[in-house]
Amino acid sequence: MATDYYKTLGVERNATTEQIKAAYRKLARKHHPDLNPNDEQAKKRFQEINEANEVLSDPESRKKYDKYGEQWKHADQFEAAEKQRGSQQARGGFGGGDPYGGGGYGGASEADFADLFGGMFGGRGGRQVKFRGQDFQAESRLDLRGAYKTHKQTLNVNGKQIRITVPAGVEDGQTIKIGGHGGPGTNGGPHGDLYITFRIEPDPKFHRVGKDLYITETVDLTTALLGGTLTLDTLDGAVKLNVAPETQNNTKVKLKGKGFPVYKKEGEFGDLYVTYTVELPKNLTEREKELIKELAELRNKA
Amino acid sequence: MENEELIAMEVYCDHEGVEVSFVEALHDRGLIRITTVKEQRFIDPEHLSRVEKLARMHYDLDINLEGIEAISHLLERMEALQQDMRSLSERLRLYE
Repeated sequence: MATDYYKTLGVERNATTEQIKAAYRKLARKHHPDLNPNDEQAKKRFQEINEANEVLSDPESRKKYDKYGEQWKHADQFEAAEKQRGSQQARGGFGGGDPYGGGGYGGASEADFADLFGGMFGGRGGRQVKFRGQDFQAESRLDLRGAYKTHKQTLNVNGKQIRITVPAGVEDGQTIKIGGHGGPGTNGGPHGDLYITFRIEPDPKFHRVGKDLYITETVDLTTALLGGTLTLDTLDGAVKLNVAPETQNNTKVKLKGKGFPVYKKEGEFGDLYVTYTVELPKNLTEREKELIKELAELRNKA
Repeated sequence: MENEELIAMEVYCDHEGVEVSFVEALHDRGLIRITTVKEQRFIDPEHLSRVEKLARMHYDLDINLEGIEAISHLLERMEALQQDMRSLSERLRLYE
């Protein structure tokens, strides 16, 4: 889709450089990622604003953009083609061929565009080179069981293998910083940092809320009525659970310390909450029906 | 703290085109930490990305120091609220 840089900044086509600068700053103050942490939409919007500003604030680029629109970056190629066409026409009037049609303009890709705007937080005075190296962002996906135990993980970041220790209890969306594993600095500046955001896949059985785990367990009718024991698989292995007599449907019990490990607090665990779902028997035999009828009569008399 | 890990303030300012007085003002307002070793001032490397962020606010977005101070406090609160919101929505999912 065509992008109108003037519209992006909300200025007229004949806006002065000062007006463009003021419009950019106003929008940047609203959408800059520094002021909108963890907001992907703001980041995207800011990139558009920044791109528009990069082009319109530079008189040369702006002139090309005004003439060629979105394809302004290939202005030199257009002009060369135009010149060539002019000379062909002068020689024998071949003309005709549309130099802009069909075949593209030398295969510039999205990546070229991105390169141009790569320094989206340009330094003072338009310098793009930063003293401190660039920060890298990476994402690591884990299942719930993977986040339960401290373990080592090898990540591929920009072609480099980095071995990290993932502490038990890491949360979904949590970002950890690995100092000095970003891009190199310049003029003796330090390396940037590597930020790893963890995504924890939901587990079909256990639901995690912070350090606590929630699980629903089925109990048959007789165990619910008379009490008994059942074996429950926790993330830490099987545990025997005593079910109290006359346990009601949706009763919640807490197993202290059987929840999730607390991040960076070794030996500390949350709790496990078990909600019982009492399962009513199906396909009753005649004998069972008789006994239940008997029970019903007894209950009615009482 | 190892001395070689510290970033000489003047070197940083010179390279980034940031005024020394600006970094001093951030320190005075408690927004970053400057360490003095043998009369030379250094920026704590842990705070370098923060200095960069605050410098962007000042130089690129034209926000004055008072504004930066207020924004910094609000951002801290915002991040804490985002954290709360995340854990609340996790809890809400229990009832879905």
